[in-house]
Amino acid sequence: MNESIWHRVHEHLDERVDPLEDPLVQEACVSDPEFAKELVSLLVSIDRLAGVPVSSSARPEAATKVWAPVHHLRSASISVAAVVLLGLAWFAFDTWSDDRDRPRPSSGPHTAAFTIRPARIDHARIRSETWSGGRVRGGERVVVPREGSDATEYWSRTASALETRTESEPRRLQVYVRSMTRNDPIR
Amino acid sequence: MNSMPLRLLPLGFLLSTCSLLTAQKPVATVEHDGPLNRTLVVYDVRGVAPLAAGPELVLAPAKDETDPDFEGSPDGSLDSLCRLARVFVHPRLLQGESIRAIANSYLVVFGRPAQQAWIRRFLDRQAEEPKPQIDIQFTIGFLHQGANLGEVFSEAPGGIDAGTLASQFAPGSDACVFEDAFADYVRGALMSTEQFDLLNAPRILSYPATDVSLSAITQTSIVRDYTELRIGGGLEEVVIADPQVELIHDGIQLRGRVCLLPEEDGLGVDFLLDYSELQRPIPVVETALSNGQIVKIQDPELRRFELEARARLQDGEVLQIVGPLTDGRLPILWLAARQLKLPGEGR
Repeated sequence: MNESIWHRVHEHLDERVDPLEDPLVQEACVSDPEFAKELVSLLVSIDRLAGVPVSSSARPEAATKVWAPVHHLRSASISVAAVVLLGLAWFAFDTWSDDRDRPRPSSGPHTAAFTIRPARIDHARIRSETWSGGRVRGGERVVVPREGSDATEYWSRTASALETRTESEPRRLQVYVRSMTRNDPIR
Repeated sequence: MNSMPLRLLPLGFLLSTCSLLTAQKPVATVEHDGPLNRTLVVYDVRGVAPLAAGPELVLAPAKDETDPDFEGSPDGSLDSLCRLARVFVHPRLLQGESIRAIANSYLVVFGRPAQQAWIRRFLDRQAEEPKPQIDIQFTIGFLHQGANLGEVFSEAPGGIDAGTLASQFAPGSDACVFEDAFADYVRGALMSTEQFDLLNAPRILSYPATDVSLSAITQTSIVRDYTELRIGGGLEEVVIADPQVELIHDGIQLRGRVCLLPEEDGLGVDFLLDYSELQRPIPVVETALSNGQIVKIQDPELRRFELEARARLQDGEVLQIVGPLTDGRLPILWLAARQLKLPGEGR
């Protein structure tokens, strides 16, 4: 399958057609990330040699004519949106600045309202150990979010290892304690 | 161009300029009509932070042991940006989705529309001009068991309950974040007790998505053991005690990177910290050679604390992580990240 796809890719390139527009090539890209990576590397190297963007360099003359107005239309839409957004951003910034300049209560330690919040950790591994007399004592904690969870909801899986080992007998004793806790707001 | 009336030229120029200011433009896109509507998009990231720093400043290994899927780019110069994008992309990458660096100039993202939108905003933030500097500070300490934290935090400010705060220092407690000023109070209160040792507080300034590292290592030679050398024979045999010298390294090594997240004032931190401390004076033990001669050898005690963390912080927040209880001591680490603004910037 791979050879036939690469054959199609080279045929497209010979005809100066963008291979990424071929549905079969697209399907291969999606089903085989390695193929996609190699293809994109190839296209990028061609792009670098030619010094022009991939998506237009490999496009035939006829397709370019169709593409160009659509491309300009998209650029114009993005630009108009950018102008509107810049205006809104300026308005929001101005309002925010006014709010920020207002006098606030002192941030001294006895007047400010503080909070303790759960940390948003994507991964943490903490290891602590003491070496002495040819032995090591220590433990390890691993904190990871629950599988498939998004950044808005953090669960942590904690694995603690208590370990004692000697130079002659590595890992003589190993005890793992695993727990699953949800990072609910603390207060 | 021919179809554009002359009166629209200034508007066209303005719009073209604005379009240059918009998001990072993909070089190539492959659409896929699967249930998740994933696309393969190639982003040209030649204008983004780590490349400007030059590959000679990139110290991270190309292979990441904690992330088996992460291969890194051939020369490592895009690794930092690619790794940060993989770690912090929202929504998270699912099976089959990927972010890779290729040709030292491009980021290839295969993901859902929400992820592609996030990547565009993420790249835009790293390319912001002027590039903000980010002040990263670690504080490492050991809390000894037996400290009455309820009493230590009895005057906790801002309506925080002393018991709630004390529970954050229990072995196995979850990581949490404080406001900067409150973290100052917590550290100050702990340092007022004899049960807390403040060990080190390294500080680094970094540009977004650029690798930083810090290393301050002390080498100490110790006599670990003796080897007996026998010279001659019979009554003339001489035993020479040949000392076996060992080099102990202790100190701090820090390596990582920080980025600006698209979410408001968000900072993503990705760090590896290795702290070790040789107890001094080094205990000395007497032992006898085979001929009865007494020699002294050293039995060092090395305390080591290693942290690997990838977390999201708001500007000015402090992350607190409590390590596993070791020999009656609880390692505690605070990590603060703050954007430094130039005078007059951001008012």
